[in-house]
Amino acid sequence: MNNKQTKEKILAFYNKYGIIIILVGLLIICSILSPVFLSKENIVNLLSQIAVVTILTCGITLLIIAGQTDLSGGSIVALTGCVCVGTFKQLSEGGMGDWPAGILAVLSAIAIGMALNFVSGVIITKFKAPAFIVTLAMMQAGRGICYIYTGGTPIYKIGNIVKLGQGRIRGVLPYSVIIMFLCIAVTWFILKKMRLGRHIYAVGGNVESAVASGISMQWTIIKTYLIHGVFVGIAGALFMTRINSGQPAEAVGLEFDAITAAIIGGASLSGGIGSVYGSIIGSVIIGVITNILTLKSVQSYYQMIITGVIIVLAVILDIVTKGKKE
Amino acid sequence: MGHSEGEMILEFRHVGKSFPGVKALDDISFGVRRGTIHCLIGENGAGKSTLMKVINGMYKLDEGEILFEGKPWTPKSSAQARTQGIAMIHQELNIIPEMTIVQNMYLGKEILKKGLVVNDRAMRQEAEEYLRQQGLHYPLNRKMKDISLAEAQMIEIIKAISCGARIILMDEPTSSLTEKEVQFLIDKIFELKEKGITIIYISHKMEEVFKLADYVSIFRDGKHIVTGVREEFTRASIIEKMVGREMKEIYPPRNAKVGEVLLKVENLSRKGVFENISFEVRSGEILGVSGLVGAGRTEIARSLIGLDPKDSGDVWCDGKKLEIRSINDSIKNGIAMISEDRRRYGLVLLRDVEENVSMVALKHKFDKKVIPLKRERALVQEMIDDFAIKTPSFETEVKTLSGGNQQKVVLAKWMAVNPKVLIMDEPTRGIDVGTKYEIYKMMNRLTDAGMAIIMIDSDMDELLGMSDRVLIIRRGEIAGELSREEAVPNVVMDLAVGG
Ligand SMILES: Nc1ncnc2c1ncn2[C@@H]1O[C@H](COP(=O)(O)OP(=O)(O)OP(=O)(O)O)[C@@H](O)[C@H]1O
Ligand SMILES: [Mg+2]
Repeated sequence: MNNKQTKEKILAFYNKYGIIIILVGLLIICSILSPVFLSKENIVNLLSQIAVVTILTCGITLLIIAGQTDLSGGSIVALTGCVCVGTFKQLSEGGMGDWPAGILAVLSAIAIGMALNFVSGVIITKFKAPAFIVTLAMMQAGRGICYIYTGGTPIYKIGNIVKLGQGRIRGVLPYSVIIMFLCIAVTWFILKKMRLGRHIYAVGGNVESAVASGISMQWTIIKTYLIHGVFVGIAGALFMTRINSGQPAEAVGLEFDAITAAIIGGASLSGGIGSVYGSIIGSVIIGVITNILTLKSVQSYYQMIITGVIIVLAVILDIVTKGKKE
Repeated sequence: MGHSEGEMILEFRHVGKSFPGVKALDDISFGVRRGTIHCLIGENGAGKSTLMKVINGMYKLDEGEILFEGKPWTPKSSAQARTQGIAMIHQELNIIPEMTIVQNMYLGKEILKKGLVVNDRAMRQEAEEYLRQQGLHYPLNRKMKDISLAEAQMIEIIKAISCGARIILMDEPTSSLTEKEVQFLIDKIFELKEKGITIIYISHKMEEVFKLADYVSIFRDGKHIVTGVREEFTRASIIEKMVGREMKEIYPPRNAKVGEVLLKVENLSRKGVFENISFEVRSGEILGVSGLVGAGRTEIARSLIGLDPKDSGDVWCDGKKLEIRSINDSIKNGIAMISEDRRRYGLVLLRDVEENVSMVALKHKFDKKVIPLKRERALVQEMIDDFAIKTPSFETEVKTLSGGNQQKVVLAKWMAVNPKVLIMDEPTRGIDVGTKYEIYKMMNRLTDAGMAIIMIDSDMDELLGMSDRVLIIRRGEIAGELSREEAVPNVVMDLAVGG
C-alpha cells in the first residue's frame, strides 16, 4: 500500500518533469563524454546555436497547441532574414545611420513574417483548409519569393547589422540568446496569463466546444499565425546576421527541428496539449545532442542518424511512462 | 419472482481501484446473479462507471478479484471482454464522427469479402434487416456527426444488445433518450432477461430502477453500501442510503413571480428542420420544451442563439431586437445555452476544471486580455462549491471526472456569466438525485432573481415538475402550449406524438 503510493508519486513526478529528467541525464552523459562540454564558452556557444530554432519553436508550439502547424517556417526564415540584411544594406548605403536602418530592417523582416503567416491563417480558416497543405504551399512560395528578392545570389557585405547576430554583451552573452529568452517569456505569458492563450488551448482541444462558448475560432487561429509570424521575422533576422550574409538557400528544414522540439516537449499534434516549458527543453535536448556530436567530431551524416534515433527514443520513453498511468 | 435462485455469474471480492487523488473503488464485495437485472445506484463520482470499466477490461483493478462464472476474470481489453460474452454501453459515447452509422455499428467486427476487403453492402443489408425486425429505422448511411445524440445513443444500445453477450453493462443508457426510446429499451431489456441474459444497469432515474431492477446495489464514495432485492427498498430509503441523508421531496415548490417578456421569438424557420417557431418567455418563468427525439428542439435552440444558421425569424431580448450573427451576439445580450452534448459542445476534455469553468467568463465577465488570475480562481472556487463538483483539484483534466461531474462543470461554466435568458438542453443529464434537487433550487433562485429559463427536457417527470408552461414541438412545428395545470403526461405525450 505504502509502497504503491510512493511508486505512484514517483510516476506522477515523472509525468510532470519526465522531460527534464531526460535532459539532465543527457547533460550528465555529455559532461562525462567531453570535459569541455560544461565550459562557459561551450554553453554560451550552445545557447547561441539553438537561439534561432528555439524562437521558431515558440511560434510553432502555439500553432500546434491550436491544432495547426507550419511547414513554411524554414523558407520564411530565409526570406525574412534576406529581407532584413538586404534592407539594412540598402538603407545604410543610402546614408542612413546604423540604428534607424537596423530597426527598419528588423521591422520589415517581422512585417513580412506576419504578412505571409496572415495569408496562411486566413486561407486555413476561411476555407477550412488543412494547415499542413496550406503551409506546405507557403513553404514553396516563400522560398520562391526569397530567390526572386535576392536574384538567386547571396547578399554579402551586410555591414554593421552583423552585430545583431554575432554581438555579445561584454563579450560574453550573445544578443541572440537574450532575444531568445525574451521570445520564450512572451510565449509563456501568452499561454499562461492571457485570454488568448486559453482560447488557443480551447480551440486546439475541441473546436466545437470552443465555438459554442463564444470563442472565435477564426480569430484565435489567425492571431496565432500572426504571433508566429513575428517570431519567424525575428528568427530570420538573427539567422542571416549570424552567418553574416543573406543566404536564400539556407534554413531548409528548420521548421522540422522546431516541430520535433515541440513534440519531444509533450505537445500533441492533434492539438490542445503542449507547453512552452516542454518545447524549450525539447529544443535544448536537440541542441545538446548536436553539440556533443560536434564536440566529439562525429561526421555530420552520422550525426543525422544518431539525432534521429535519440529523438525517437525520447518520445517513446515519454509515451511508455505516460501510458503506465492506467 | 423466482429470480433469486440463479447462481452468481459475477462476483466481486474486495475490489479496489485508485486514480491520482481519488480512491474510485474501495473494497467492493458483492455478487450478481445470472439472468437478473441488477441496478447500481450512487451519487456522481461514487465509482459506478469505474466498476463497469473494470469488468469491461478498460481499467485494471489494483486490489481484489472478480469472478466471472466462478473463474477469475482479468480481461485485457474491452474487445476481449466482448468476445468472451460481456458487452457494454458506455455512459460517454465513443463514436467516430466521420464514420457512417453502419461503419460505426460494425467497428471492430467488420464483415469482410474473402477475408480482405470490407463488405459495406453486406453490413448495410444485415443492419437494415436487424433494425427492421426491431421496428426501428435510422438513416444508415448518415455520418455519426450528423445524427442527434439520442440517435447515437440508440445505435450504441443496438450494438450492445445485438452482439450475443451473456452480460450487458448499461451505464446510464437513457440519459439522452425520450419516453418513447426509453420504453423501447425497457422492452428490450425484459426480452433479454427472458433469454437468460444478465443486465447490470446504472441510472439516476428512480422510476427506471423500480421498473427494471431485480436487485439493487448502492454505492457511496467508492464503497459498496448494500445489495438487496428491489422489494427491500423504497425510493426514500435508496436516496437516504446513497446521499447519506433524508430527502423528502423531489422538486422544490415553485412560486414563480412571472414578470415582463424577456425573450420573444417570431417566425423562426430553417428549411427542412423547423418552421414558424414563435414564442415568448417572461422573466421569472421556466418554459419547458417537450417533444420526441428528432422533433427539432435542440435545432431550434441552436439556430436561435446563433450556433446554427437560420433562414428567417426575429429575436427580441429585453425589448430590443437582436441581430444574432454568431453565438457571441447572444452571449453579449445575456442569452446562454447549455448543450445536451457535453463532450462535443460543452467541454474541452483535455483541459482542466479551472479552464473549462472560466471559459466563457474570461471574455464575457472579466473582459480583460490578461486574465485576472485571482478573480478567476475565486470564481471557479465559488462554482465548484455551488455545484458540489467532485474533483481532486482545479488542475484535474475534465476527462477524468465522472459523467455527472462533467455535466456540473458545463452548468457552472454558463452560470458564471449570469445570463438573463438561459436555454438548458437536458440540464440534469447524468446528475444524481441529490444534486438534481440542488440544481432545481438554483433554478428557482435564478428565476426569482428575474432570469428566464427555457428547459428542453426529455425527462417528462422533471419537465412537468419544474416548468411553469410547456411548449410541445412536433416535427419542427409548435404542436401546442400548455399551462402548468394543463400539462399532464398523457396530454403532453399526445401532442408530441400527434393524432
Ligand atoms: N480515468 C480516470 N482518471 C482519474 N480519475 C478518474 C478516472 N475515472 C474516474 N475517476 C474518478 O473516479 C471517481 C469515480 O468515477 P466514476 O466515473 O466511476 O463515477 P460514477 O459513479 O460513474 O459517477 P456518475 O454518476 O457521475 O457517472 C471520480 O471521482 C472520478 O473523478
Ligand atoms: Mg458514471
